[in-house]
Amino acid sequence: MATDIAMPSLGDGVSEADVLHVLVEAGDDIAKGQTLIEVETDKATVEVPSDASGNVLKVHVKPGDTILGGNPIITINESSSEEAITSRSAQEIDNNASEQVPIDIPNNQMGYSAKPPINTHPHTTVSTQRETPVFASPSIRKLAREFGIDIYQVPGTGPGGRISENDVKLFSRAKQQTGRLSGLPSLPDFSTWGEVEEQPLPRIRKTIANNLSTSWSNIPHVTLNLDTDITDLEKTRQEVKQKFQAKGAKLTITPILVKALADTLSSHPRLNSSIDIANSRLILKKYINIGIATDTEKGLIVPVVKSAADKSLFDICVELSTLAAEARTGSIGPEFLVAGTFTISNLGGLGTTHFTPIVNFPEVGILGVGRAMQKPEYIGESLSPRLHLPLSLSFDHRAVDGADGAKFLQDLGDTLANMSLHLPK
Amino acid sequence: MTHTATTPSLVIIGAGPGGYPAAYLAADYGMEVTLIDKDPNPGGVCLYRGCIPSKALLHVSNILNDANSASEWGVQFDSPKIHLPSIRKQKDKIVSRLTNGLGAMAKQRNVTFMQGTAKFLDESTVRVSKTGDEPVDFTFDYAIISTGSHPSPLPGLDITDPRIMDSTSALELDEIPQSLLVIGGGYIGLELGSVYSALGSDVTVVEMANRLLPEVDPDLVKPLQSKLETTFTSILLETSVEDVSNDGDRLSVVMRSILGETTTDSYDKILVAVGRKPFSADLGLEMTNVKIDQNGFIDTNAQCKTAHNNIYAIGDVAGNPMLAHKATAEARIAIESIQGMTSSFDPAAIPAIVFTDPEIAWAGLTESQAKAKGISVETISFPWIASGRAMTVGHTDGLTKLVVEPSTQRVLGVGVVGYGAGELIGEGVLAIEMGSRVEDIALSIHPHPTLSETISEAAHLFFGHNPHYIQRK
Ligand SMILES: Cc1cc2nc3c(=O)[nH]c(=O)nc-3n(C[C@H](O)[C@H](O)[C@H](O)COP(=O)(O)OP(=O)(O)OC[C@H]3O[C@@H](n4cnc5c(N)ncnc54)[C@H](O)[C@@H]3O)c2cc1C
Repeated sequence: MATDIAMPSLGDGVSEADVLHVLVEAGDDIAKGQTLIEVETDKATVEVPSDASGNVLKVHVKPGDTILGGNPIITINESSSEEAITSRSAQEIDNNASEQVPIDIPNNQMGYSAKPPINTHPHTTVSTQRETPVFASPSIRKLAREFGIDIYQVPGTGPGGRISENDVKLFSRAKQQTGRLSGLPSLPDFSTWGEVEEQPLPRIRKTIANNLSTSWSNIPHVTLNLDTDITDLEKTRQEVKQKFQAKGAKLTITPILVKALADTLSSHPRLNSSIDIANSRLILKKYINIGIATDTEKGLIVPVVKSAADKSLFDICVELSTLAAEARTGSIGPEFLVAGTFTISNLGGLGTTHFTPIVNFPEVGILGVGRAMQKPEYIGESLSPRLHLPLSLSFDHRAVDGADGAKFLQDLGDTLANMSLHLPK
Repeated sequence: MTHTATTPSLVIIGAGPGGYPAAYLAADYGMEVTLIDKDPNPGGVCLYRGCIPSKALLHVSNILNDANSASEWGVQFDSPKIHLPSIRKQKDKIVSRLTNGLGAMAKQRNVTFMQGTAKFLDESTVRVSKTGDEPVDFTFDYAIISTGSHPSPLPGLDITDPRIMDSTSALELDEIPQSLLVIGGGYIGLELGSVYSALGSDVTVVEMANRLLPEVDPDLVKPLQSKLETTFTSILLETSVEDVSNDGDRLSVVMRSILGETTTDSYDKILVAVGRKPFSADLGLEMTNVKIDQNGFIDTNAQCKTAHNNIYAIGDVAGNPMLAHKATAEARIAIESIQGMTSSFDPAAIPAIVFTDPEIAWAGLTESQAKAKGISVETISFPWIASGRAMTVGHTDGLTKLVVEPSTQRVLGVGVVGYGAGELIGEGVLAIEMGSRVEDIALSIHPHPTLSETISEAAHLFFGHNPHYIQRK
């Protein structure tokens, strides 16, 4: 008898799911409880098991489809012995699924709490309460800890739903795969169209990729642009440059930016915060540590000038030279690469003007700096050449409103334009 | 004293069954370990004034009870002559053999054992003081607090009198009083009450709750209670001690029942056994971030770590159940966590034993806990009256009970009351930890004739086909 196996309800507040993997195809003999597809909801990745045994006649879904509760997944030719119980309607499955009580599992990296996989398999157990111990022996529990898995999430396939070593391993592998593959379509074979060269990704590139994905996918970005007039600043800089040099400090625009930024952040604490959505709080940091995105041979790294608001311009100059040198040679200590509260990315040296920097998660703002350019400007009635520095501020719109971002950028521009550059006595 | 920068240093305060195994394991991992205790050797309450001396004395009472019941088997002994100094000597010999052994073990492992009282000066220094000596300061990378617990005094009891004993002084066995009032019907009161009763005291137990051993399932307590009703002079339940005063040779005690009636009686001695309190005061914990709860227990996480990043706490001072084997299990977790391993204290069962006659032992979920927490369980009990082995040893007053999860049929709890129950419970722990189902136990062949068979008999009974319950071959 041909029967449809439908998608069970996904539980509270979840109406649809994306199909990640389809694990069966037409012609397969499947057993009750066997996983048919893996879907991803906005809360968790879930394996959907079959609630009947039989031969697969047709598969109705493919990876990438969006599926709703009640939609058919496959049609099977049911094994007769199962007939009596397998003609359950989607509604019945629905009821079963909603009996699943969500359990608390550790928050994932993104800060969303996940729900346990929906379990319609009569012989698998997801413990719904921690009053009773998980159905696994101590060595299996230890194994799960070593894999970094919450054993309460692992479906057990042993008698009565006992969790075996294999269950833990399979769960771990599935988790890794969905982690790796989630949302990313596989690439075509480029070599069919011409010669290609493959380079393995070094660790730093993987880290950069992960960090940027985290930032980009979690932070709603807004970028504001401003040109600030640094004609006078640049004039003074040229005048005092030598004096700094004489004392062993290189007065470029970067230390000036660090100082101006730190001073401006002192009066805009929201821009020096982190937003913690999972715990509904904004964390305001009472220290201002400025990271400087630095291009090195191996890739981008971000050395940090700590307590920048408390340091003199001269000290910042000296510190920056050392940090930059160490960053380029790769000898920089890990303690100089952490604890930033705001980042500067200066692409001026490469000719760029305005751009849209990506916020360095979990900070809430980043300042992009372009190349300063002479522009004609009316001063009163007459045109005169003025030097303009393009500033681009990207910020996390969850933490900072547009107007606040604009005020901050304006203040920063003013602070910069009016900076007095003096040496310590 | 300072330590070398390369090997991490560990200071452990308290050398009981939490502290000394932690010290030895850490030394095996290559840490530089200092173990501190007030006593001259490692051992703690358990070896000096807890588990070991109490069990030694209970052995004496078992010998006496067995001799007493031998007449049923046609063997008649004369009434026993009790030589108290020899009993004390035998008990002390066991204690010193064990504690000296632990002291020697510390030396072999290069663990520095320091006698004295330790206190935190700040978050990386501990000061050890010993009367007559200059205090010594130790700096540490890691510290473990395993200071254990001490007997709680009776609230409101304001007289101090050598005739009012706690478990420590009761174990000294200075004399056998004619009459003894045991305040508290928990395991320590019942064990020590049994010792004094077997040695000849008239023992009265007074307990505020409506039964003895309130945390144990009533059906497991029943055989013990019936027995104690014959050996003790009286058991006063739902009764509290209002006042104790000096009445010449004796102590006069005013007790009030739940109905409000007060009675006054006098006793030669009193044993206060109303529970134990964690040893968390006067440790200088205010110099660290270590937090304690309202009962004085140190707050720890599943890695046995306190709120202070490099300070751990284990054993009685870190919470219930206050049992030696729980302290030892936590010792391993703490050291492995310090070693950076992914260890976690997540037992499915911590066994507990009351070493009375009959013994009571249980592990995992009890039926009463299941009820209280609303966990649905099925229970099955096998009465020892149907056990051949129980008959051949003359102890049919027993019961073996399984607490089962209905949906999976796995064993969540095991309870045993009866002769030697303590030696049976290990199988229960293994069954629970391994997630054994009732059928696994039924299919595991148990040796005949033994008391361990009662566990598989209970499992068979669960499925309704036990050859022995109605009649025995
Ligand atoms: C009469 C009796 C019978 C018992 N029977 C059993 C039994 O049968 N089975 C069982 O499992 N448990 C039994 N217990 C309980 C058991 O003794 C404890 O659970 C166990 O000893 C706890 O171990 P621990 O390492 O936490 O602390 P403890 O054994 O209490 O050791 C702590 C040590 O720290 C020392 N200390 C405290 N503060 C300081 C300080 N500031 N500086 C230096 N040293 C300090 C103490 O002097 C002590 O030696 C019994 C207890 C009693 C009293």
